[in-house]
Amino acid sequence: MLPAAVVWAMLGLLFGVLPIATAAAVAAAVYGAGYGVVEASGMARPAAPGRRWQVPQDLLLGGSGRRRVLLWGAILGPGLLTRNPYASFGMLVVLAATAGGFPAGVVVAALIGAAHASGRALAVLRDSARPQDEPFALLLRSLRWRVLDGMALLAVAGAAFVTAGYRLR
Amino acid sequence: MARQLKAGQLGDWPADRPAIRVVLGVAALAGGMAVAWQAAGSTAVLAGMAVVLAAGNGYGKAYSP
Repeated sequence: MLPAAVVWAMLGLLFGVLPIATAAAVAAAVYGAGYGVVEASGMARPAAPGRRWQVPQDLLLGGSGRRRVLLWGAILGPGLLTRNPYASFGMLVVLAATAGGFPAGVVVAALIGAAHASGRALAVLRDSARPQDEPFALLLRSLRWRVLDGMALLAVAGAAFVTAGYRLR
Repeated sequence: MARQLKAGQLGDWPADRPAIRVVLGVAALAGGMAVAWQAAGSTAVLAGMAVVLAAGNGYGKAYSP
């Protein structure tokens, strides 16, 4: 969780020095509405923006348990380097820029990083405590999660639309 | 006997039906607008939503094949 908070705080620091908070709110409204409709309606394309890279197995095989935990924590916790199938991850980057200024932007970004890493860690604990789902059940669950992700994006888009309106008045 | 799914329907949950998803999507959009409106466009609303969205994204990513 700590590496994720630090990495995201640095991103927040970068955004904080740029005068982009209002533009980011407008971008969040547009991005959320667009990808929200795509995901909530079940459309396959456009795919969520982001990287396609995943942690290679050779980085983890043969290492000690401590090394594996460190690697997973440092790479998967922040989530900026690896593939993410849901468009809400891109929204997180945009939302980190909406807080604006220092220290608010840094604090919000650090909280985003910590929350993402905590959710990821909870999911790993959840999966390690029960048998793996069948492939079809896993796919259906992923599709349903994508729809839920779209709903969340639409809610954020609505809030960002109003927030941008207040800022542009 | 297995139930026939209509086009665009993911499974047999109520929220899997396209019509229900449209209603939920509109409600989500309106809900987000209402919350931000109540808070008079405060940055805290987007910040709070970002933290919840981040936790959900991290948790849900494990479901992706």
